[in-house]
Amino acid sequence: MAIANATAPARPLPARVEPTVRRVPAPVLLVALGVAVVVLIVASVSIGEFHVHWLDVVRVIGAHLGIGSDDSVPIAARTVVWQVRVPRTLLALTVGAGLALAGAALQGIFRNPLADPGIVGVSSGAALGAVVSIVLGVGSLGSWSTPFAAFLGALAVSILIYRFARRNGRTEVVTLILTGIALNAIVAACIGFLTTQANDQQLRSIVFWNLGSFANARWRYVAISSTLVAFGLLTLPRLARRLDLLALGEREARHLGVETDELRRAVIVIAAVVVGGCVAVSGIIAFVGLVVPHLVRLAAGPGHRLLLPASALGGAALLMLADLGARTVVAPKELPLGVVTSGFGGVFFLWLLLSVRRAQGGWG
Amino acid sequence: MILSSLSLAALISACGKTDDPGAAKTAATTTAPVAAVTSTSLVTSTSLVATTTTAPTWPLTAPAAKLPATVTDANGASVTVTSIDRIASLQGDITEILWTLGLGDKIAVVDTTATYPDSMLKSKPNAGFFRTLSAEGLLAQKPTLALVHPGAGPAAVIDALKAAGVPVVVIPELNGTDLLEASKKIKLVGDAVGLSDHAAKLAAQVEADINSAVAEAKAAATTSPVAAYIVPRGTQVFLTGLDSPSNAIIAAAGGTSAAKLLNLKTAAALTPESLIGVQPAFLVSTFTGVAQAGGDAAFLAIAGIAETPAAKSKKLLVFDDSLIQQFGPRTGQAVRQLSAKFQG
Repeated sequence: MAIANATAPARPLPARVEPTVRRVPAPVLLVALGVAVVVLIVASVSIGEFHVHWLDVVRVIGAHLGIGSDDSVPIAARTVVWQVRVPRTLLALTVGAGLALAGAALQGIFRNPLADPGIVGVSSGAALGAVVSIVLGVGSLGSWSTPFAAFLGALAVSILIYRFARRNGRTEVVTLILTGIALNAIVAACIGFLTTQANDQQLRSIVFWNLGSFANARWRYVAISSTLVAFGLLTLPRLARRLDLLALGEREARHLGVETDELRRAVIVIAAVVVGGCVAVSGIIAFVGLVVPHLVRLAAGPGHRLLLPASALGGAALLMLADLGARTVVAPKELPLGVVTSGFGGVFFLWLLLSVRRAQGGWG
Repeated sequence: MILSSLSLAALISACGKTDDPGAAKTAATTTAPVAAVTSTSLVTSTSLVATTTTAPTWPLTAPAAKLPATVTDANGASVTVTSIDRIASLQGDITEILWTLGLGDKIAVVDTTATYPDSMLKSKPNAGFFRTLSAEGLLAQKPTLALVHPGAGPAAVIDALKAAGVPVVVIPELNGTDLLEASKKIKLVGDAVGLSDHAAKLAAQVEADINSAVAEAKAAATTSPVAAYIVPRGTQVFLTGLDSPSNAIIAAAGGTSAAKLLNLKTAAALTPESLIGVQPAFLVSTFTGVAQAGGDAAFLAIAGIAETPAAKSKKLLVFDDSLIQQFGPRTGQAVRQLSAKFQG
């Protein structure tokens, strides 16, 4: 709803040519997104192919929180609520928040609206780690091997890209982004080669993993993603002021006392940790990290003190909604999450871009 | 080709499977688009009928199951089955075996790998691909038993089924190189549904049918033409390896598989030249494979396929996916049909 307000002034521009973009006040946006998140949490644990009365949902969740008892609820319904819906909901919530938060911070340090976790190699690195562990069978951590390998891959490739892009203690943004593109291509080639070495079963795991899904949600995955996303939420917003100064320009920020290189390094490492953890538990979910920050900027402007928390809330809401769609639209089948986020999200974003252009006569 | 509508319809009625109108219908409808190509290499339907006089009448009628039944599954888990009223059958070959045993009406939900029999599958909810299942979607079908492939998942879904009190029996893949794995699989499915004796009867029928089909094919074999089993994926050509049922069936039917000549141990994407190099006289694929390529004309025009002797003489043999890609009750049938084409 906040977004609709931002695009509402579809009438011709006033004669006084001055960027009079109507912005949603920060408290309104945060409250609206917060309400959306709460509503989606409730919807996500209540709605599904398996019919569970909402009172039973309350009983099951209450019982696990130590309030009341769920003995009257059939075992299948208890399983659906506590082992399927609740972990899925929490995973979508944390992963969505993490991806959007990291995306917003990365766009900030690159001062480039096209930056997303993919560009610094986090996503492709995670994919490479996962594929290596699937195809070569590396790792003795059982079901933890692939997520852990994905996490290591994300860190390794993003550090590598950062190292390549750095010279004489300086990092040039364009070099960094182009290095990212080059390394992403190399990583993609490695993945392509490994898939030719995979047997049928491995190939299917790779495909499943690359599409991203919350169908394999487990409580222990929720523990990982919520820890790492909490880390991101505690650290990145502290850098908001410095990110705002950086938006003025590299030199301007330095003159104002911002250690820009240190800031970049911190954000890249934090983003790699957060996104690596998210990708490790849910596979690759494109689009969220790129688009949610843009939606928030459209609604409320580019200030990072609002952008970072609002993006986290928006990402959480978007992925919970997408997952709700993924598991209900073609039930009893499961729709790949990427289809929902990229497909529907892409169409929505395109529509938004076009209508903003109509209203404001341009973009960015 | 091989499965031209005429010959298959004749074969099915000769098998006494007229009580399954869907099967005849599937053959008739799905083979229609390839009729033009097949006619050049069509074996007369009489020769097929003549070889199938011993084929049994399926589906069987299932007696009452002996429950509870306790089985040790492929993962070594001891599972107790108390009801087979609503079976989640999450692999195509398991579904076909249940139907053949006479348990078609007990199947509550299937997966996308199920392709036979069409008449039954139309009325069953589909849980999607067996590796990307949805826990809630499955539980909503209120299954009392789940029979699954070892690769079924994601793992959290299988765990949720177990937590909800649904016995989960993992049936091993058993799609290797020994045609008689068909009967092993039938017995394992039978044990899991409390119908061991009934399944043993079917397994014996299937074993006898496969043995006689292989013997007939051997006796009829005057040549051993080179046949390539091909799965097109996009612009690439995949050949299944020597570890796959398709090549075992080709060998049993008296053919020489391209995989053998190329010494392909497992499935692989081929360069066009290597397929041309082995000069296949026959190309074998499935309805799904040919449809993905865009029909048989497009299939025969794929680089590397177009230049083979088989493509030039339009000897493309199209099978129902489950008939040639896995072992099951109809494996003997597959051998007979291929043998008739090879020697035709």
